[in-house]
Amino acid sequence: MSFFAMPAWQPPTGYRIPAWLRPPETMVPGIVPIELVAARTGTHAVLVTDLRAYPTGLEFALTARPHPDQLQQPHHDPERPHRHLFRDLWLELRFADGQTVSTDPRRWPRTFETHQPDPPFLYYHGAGGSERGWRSAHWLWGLPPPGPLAFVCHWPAGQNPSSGIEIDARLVLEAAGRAVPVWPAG
Amino acid sequence: MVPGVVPVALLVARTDTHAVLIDNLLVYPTGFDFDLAVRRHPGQPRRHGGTCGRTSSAWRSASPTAAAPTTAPAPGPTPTTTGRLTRRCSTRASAAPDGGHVWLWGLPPPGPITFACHWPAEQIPPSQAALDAGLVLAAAARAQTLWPDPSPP
Repeated sequence: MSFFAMPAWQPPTGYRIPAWLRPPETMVPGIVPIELVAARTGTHAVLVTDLRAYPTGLEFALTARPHPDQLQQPHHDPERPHRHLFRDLWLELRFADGQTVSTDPRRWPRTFETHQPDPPFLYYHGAGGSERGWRSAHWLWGLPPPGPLAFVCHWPAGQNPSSGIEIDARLVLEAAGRAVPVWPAG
Repeated sequence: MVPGVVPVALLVARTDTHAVLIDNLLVYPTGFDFDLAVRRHPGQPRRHGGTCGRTSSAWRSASPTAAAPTTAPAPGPTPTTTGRLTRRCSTRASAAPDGGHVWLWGLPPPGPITFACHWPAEQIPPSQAALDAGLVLAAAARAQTLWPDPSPP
């Protein structure tokens, strides 16, 4: 085949993103009616927002915002100018039963893309931003057990010590109970 | 600002193949934003480029004094808001994989607020769903300032 010849069209393979890597698209989520300030200093704030619960897990966003006075400050690593400082923001979730999950990919099982990991499993699937802030989307596979649920963030570049906020996991569990299928069976 | 959350996701339209949701309603004292989320029935192919890329100026307002540019014919879902100007923003990271993100400047008056959608390209007829604006106004009251203004009143 010529280098310039187009390959024959192939039908879609039917691949679907595994359930442990994305919220279910065929559900209307239950909204967790809170926005959380996980950390706040004189220069930056870190929020946990957009919490939406499903029977299989919790979706949320991690958002970093600079103080308005900081908008003109550079937010790139001086030693790695292509790298945004907000990328070094890490989040850990701590459950009432002692388990923890983290946004650190080094804690993910090696086969997470092909084999279903044991819940809880925290995955992020998209991040972006600018000098005005940073936002990353996360999916917690598996619902938290009843009791306190802590969101703890750590941001070395922003010189924030670890800080966080705790909520009652009941808010998440009740919201998951309100999720409904978009297309009811039948 | 830390927005107030409206604890509702609204199903505006549903056919055998597609559904359109109003999701992620976040409210500030000056207005609110939301995701227009398109869900495809399992088995429906996802189109290359997504819906978002083909509807860049498809948003419009029903207000005769605040009409925004409209692409005709609009290939994507077209929400209509009454009495306020909506503005289309870019899709947020994964928040609305096939839809878009909308900012509505100004808070609605008390009473029902109607979200209407029409998507001829996917055979979604004119559809609508209503929300009690009281939920939006109550959420606006819960919004908090991250850094209070240090300037004297």
